[in-house]
Amino acid sequence: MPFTLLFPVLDVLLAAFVMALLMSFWTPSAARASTANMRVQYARLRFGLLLVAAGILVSVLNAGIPIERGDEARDLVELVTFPVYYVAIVLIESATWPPRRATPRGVSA
Amino acid sequence: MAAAARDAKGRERLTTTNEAIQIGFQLVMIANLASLAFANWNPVRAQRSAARLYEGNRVFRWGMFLILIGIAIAAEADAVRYTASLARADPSYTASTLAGSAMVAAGLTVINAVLLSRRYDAPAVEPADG
Repeated sequence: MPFTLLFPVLDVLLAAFVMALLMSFWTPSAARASTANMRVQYARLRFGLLLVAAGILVSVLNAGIPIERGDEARDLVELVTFPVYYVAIVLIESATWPPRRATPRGVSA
Repeated sequence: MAAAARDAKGRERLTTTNEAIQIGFQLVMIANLASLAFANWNPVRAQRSAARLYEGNRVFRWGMFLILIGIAIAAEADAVRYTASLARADPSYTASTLAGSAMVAAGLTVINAVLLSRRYDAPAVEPADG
């Protein structure tokens, strides 16, 4: 199983990406600076979410690979999904980072 | 290494029971992600009050935290698969990945159901001041 070692490493990297998203102050408030900017950021957000969905769909289809072809065939397909997740999370983070001030201008407490 | 799963007639199954259940969780994830992607995704509405903003962020963080736990479980399962040379169809491996998928699906459901659909369904047009 030559690819088996890659999976925990890629999982940890994925967890790091998600942790970065978790630790950021989640608010696209900066997008309010202009309507065009807001549209770009929401487009990134939507495209990133769809990429994650596509990666999971590949995992679903991966279960249909016959067992006779062995683990390597399934591992190879599963490996393809990880770069997709990374690109997706970078897109989602780019729609929310850098962290902005805690309370956006003009909101009431 | 565990033997491949077989049905009552001795034929090899394409997917094990755990994998089949996991596919169900993955379909839940896809449905939630599609819902998030195509929803009227506008958390700006939530920022009309700081209380709502903080509540929304807290819910989002809880969802992300569940997703993170799910990925950690998957990482642990993959590490065990490597060290113990388990097959992908091994029941202990598929049970762990099943638990990870369940956590990720739960996290996405929390984000989707709570953050977007119910709490911040504010009118699209603000009433004019004055």
